[in-house]
Amino acid sequence: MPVERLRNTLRVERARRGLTQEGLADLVGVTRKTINTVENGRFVPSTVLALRLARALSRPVEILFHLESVRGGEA
Amino acid sequence: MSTIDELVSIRRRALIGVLIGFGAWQAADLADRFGGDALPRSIHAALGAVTLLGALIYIAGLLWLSPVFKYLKADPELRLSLNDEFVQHVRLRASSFGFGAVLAVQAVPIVAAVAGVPLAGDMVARLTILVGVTSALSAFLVFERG
Repeated sequence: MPVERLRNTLRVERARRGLTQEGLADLVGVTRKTINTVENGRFVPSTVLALRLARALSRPVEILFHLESVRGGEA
Repeated sequence: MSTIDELVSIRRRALIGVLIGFGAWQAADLADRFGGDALPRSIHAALGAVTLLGALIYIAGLLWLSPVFKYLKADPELRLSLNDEFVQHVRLRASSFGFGAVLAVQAVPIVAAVAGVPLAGDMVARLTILVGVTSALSAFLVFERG
């Protein structure tokens, strides 16, 4: 089974909208720290939070989050 | 700094105070009881002072948290933000870490008994509480940093 890791484009999409981490946090009702840890890939958000982020940034959720093969191919 | 960031910062500083206070208070008291009459008077007095100081820091830490509770009571939305899923995740990991530490510390009375120095039940209970609370709080503070 391929090893996959969740990647996100949250930082890019947030910057595109001219939002700070604090501003985005306010929009989705979390702390700035939560946005920071999601952006850095240290925390995997729930489906609910991922959908809220997508709504706040007016982007499809699969643009914000995608799976990337770590080793490429099967282990 | 937004209100929520300010509250997160207050909570973090208050928890550090609670951790230091509780740790010093309980550890010094435990050492004092363990040493008993064998301890020199000066050490006994020093441990008593650390116990008192620790208890005061612990109370100050709890009082420091009071503005957070006041805000949260008045604003349910803020309460949800302050306890968002990342914080809940961190809390769960910290609780698991604390549980592991509590299990690990149970080796202390066993080893002590084997070594011929059996510990009293209340000492073991207090040691368990000390390790459980301080390890879970420390873990929360570390994991919360992300």
